[in-house]
Amino acid sequence: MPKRLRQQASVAQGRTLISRTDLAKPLVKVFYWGVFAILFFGTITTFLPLLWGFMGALKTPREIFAFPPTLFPQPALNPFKWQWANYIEAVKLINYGKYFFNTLVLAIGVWFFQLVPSAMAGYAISKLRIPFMRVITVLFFASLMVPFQAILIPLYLTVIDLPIFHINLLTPGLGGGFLAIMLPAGVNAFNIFVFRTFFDQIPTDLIEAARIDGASEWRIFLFIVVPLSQSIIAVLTIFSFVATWNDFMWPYIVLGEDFQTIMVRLYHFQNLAEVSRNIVLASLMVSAIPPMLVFLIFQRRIMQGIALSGLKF
Amino acid sequence: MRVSLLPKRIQEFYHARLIGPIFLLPAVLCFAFFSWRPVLWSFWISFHRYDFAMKEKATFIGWENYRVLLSDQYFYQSWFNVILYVVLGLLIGYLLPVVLAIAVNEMRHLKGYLRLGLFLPAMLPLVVVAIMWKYLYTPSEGFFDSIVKLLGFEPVRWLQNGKTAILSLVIMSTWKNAGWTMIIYLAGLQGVPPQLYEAAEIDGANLWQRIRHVTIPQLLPLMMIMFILQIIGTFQIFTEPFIMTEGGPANKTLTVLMRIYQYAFRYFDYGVATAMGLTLFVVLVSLSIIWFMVAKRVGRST
Repeated sequence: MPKRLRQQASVAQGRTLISRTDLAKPLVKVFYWGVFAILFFGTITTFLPLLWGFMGALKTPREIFAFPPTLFPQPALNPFKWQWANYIEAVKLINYGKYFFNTLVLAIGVWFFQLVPSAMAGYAISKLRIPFMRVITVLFFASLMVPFQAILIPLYLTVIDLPIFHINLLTPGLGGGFLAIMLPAGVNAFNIFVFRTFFDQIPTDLIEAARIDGASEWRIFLFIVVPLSQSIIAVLTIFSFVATWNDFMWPYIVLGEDFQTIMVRLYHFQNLAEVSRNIVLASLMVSAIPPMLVFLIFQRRIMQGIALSGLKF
Repeated sequence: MRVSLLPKRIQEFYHARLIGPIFLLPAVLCFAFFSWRPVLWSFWISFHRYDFAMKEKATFIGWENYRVLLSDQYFYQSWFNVILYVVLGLLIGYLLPVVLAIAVNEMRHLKGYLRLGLFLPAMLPLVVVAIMWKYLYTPSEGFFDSIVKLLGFEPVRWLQNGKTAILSLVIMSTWKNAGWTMIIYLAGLQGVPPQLYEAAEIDGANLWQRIRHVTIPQLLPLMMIMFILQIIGTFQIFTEPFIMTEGGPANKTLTVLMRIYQYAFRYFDYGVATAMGLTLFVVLVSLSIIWFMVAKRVGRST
């Protein structure tokens, strides 16, 4: 089909507030371009602070506070032109490699605990026989009403002295707080709910057939159910990684010095008196790169995912 | 056929009864340790003296922790601040994403660019945004105050000024979050049946009437959810004031969660901290329950 015809067809199908005939009227046209201009200005206001930060990292400390303010580094104020070296300096000073590695390891652990128990529980609720089904599901979903911040202190007291085992998860020998972030990540009623809803759509006949063929529930789960759920797992994985990368309060409280994530490290770094602001700005920019890359690469998936699970945030 | 050493009856029992609970077990353990027990334990701790030095022998002290809270002026101050935060956040940031979503959805030019551009701040980590905006807000010398000075006004001193501190934080939060919420509404808008607009247009409804009688009713369930989520989220605000103002100036931006944090990790008084956490717990759960009742009534009437 020629492009124009296809466009017309899609407009007729997915029409919105303003129709094509509306748009031909001059008044509507003016209004439309007015709104367009406002939105375009909106994208400038979202972009400007980021550009200011990026450019600030290329300036000398003196110029960041120059009056009148500059956006692009001015040659007069920068004897060595744009200070690209600031970025290298920031990566070195903040010890980026080490904290990147910490964050990555933590993200993998959190990912495991956010997905595996939830997927198994979702499967059990959807397809297996369990006693006290109602009570258990209500207890799971009741936890959605209890924000983790409201039980922050008992949770902290739990991880420094785990009941029954009586171990302190914050000691360096036990991962310096990594476990204190990973294990509570298993509390995720939202993921259980998403998985259950998804598994409900998998025909029970398919699973029955596999059972008759002699496959165990583990095999069915691993080789039939999980591969069928790739799309949902992909979305939850992306969100899990980004959330761990960006998380601050709980990691700040529980992580030992050698186990900090990038965000916790950034907080301490910008508090140091000897670090100047252009270096801090540079370190902010390099710390924002990984989640931004993830967003840009998986844009389409994420937009779909927000529609599905954006309510979580 | 699989070969098993177990007697047949045990095998049958396993397949019929045991496999379900086994699949449920990891989640149940996580919930038991890190959700259900902490909630119940909260009530116990709040009636005990439970500090760092004597972790082993917590002593029962009745309502003492709550008495301490009620005589603490910062308890009231932090609740007042947070409520102000919620109200300002709703005034400035609640309708903005709806408007943006409806507008972006109508665009026939650069739609992808506009969507991504407005979404940009949502891609940045909160800590990065908070530190960057702290610099932008630097009194007199920062970017914003420089512009204010260029326009010929007195510097506002944003975060250092008791009158504008919370407002400055709310502006930053709105900048950061509006794009994310906009995407949720955009997804919701795709579910509005085009026939409704078609019918409205044939009936001669103008733009505003179409928004008022077609778009808004269709988005209403989503708008109600976002309303309660924004309130609950703002009540728990911590990172922004913690990084940008440390609660200052003169505790004007101290939040409930920051006060809990101070009790626990500055004074090591876990009893009072937990009691204060319970006040937050009670408020948030009551809000959720009220919301559910209202949502049910609205759902029935439409």
